[in-house]
Amino acid sequence: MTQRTGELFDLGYQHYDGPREGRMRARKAVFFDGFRTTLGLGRGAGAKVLPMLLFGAAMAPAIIIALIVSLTNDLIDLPGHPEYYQVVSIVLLIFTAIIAPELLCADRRNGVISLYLVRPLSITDYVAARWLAFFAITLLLVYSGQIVLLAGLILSASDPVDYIRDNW
Amino acid sequence: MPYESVDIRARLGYMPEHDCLPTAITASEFLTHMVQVSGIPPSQARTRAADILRHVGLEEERYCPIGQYSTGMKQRVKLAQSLAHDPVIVLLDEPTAGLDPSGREDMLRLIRRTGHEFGISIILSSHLMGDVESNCDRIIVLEGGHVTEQGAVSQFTQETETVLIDVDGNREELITALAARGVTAVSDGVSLAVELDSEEQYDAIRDALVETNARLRRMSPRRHQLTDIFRNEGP
Repeated sequence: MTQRTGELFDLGYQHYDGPREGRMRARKAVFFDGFRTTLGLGRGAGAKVLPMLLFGAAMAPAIIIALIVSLTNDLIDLPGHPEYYQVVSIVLLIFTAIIAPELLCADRRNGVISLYLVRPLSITDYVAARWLAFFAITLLLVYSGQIVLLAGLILSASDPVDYIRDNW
Repeated sequence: MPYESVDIRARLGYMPEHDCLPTAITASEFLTHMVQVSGIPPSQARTRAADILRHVGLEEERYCPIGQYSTGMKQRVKLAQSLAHDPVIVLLDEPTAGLDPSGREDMLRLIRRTGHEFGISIILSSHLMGDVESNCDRIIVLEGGHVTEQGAVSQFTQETETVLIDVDGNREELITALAARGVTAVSDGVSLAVELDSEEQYDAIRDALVETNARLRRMSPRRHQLTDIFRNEGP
């Protein structure tokens, strides 16, 4: 990786006179970067393992509950959304404990933070954008589990339309 | 234009001395992101990132994770991120730190080009006086947070009225011959240093050289070097 490519310099530098969207664009960029970093997008396969694992762990109980319900067919007291939360809250806790520090600490560890702070972005903007990214991912995780479970319960109910009406 | 610091920072570039790059993502990805944080929309950001990486001499490597880069390549990425959003002014903090001599020369050439051909004002902070002398137009000397001296580089390196003479043999005779003509020569390492008061003393030096038959190797005016700024301020 030490090969030099000095001859390529002469292709030159272009000035930019397109739109500059300033602070709002900076906030969005930090937000989406936080989102992508956490999910391991744009990174190697290794970075995707942990998010996928945790995502799977949050999804599994929903699928299992839905399967139990459909197989036992009203024979037992049905587990539902509250039970799902009991099981999955521990996964959410672990997920949160892993991703939240990574969103803020990595930038300080690498020193990238000093590059953010010379750009059109205040410290508050930066933290808020990172927090929103964190919040969005947690929300996504929580709701996708719920939606899978709801879909499972509706499909396994003897009368899906009634189920929706009763449990809405 | 309101002089809010956020607005100003949109047109400012900064290359820190310390490490400031993530390791897991590629230079291309990182630059694209940084250009967006500077306020440039994603569609243009990608093009800017590609252009600037080519400008600093990273071609295929830009699709490798930054963690695999050599110091020289990292310095280039650092320079690239400071220039990518077309800033009006760029602050470079020790841009040649950790580079080998040829890498340093490449980096300085790149900085010179950026400053002179593309009209971006560059403030370079360095402790390498040679780099400053050969690449900068003006110098500001700071000490304890105060500007102690400033001016054009030539002002700091202007010629003094001292002539350095190197001879092969007959050195002592030359000193005596010069003294006889009223010229004081001081031994300065291998050279003789002569403080000139008038133009005629050049003739005296010539005559003394002819008389003593000393073989002349070098005769040149001594230039002040930038490092003298610091030497002079010593205790």
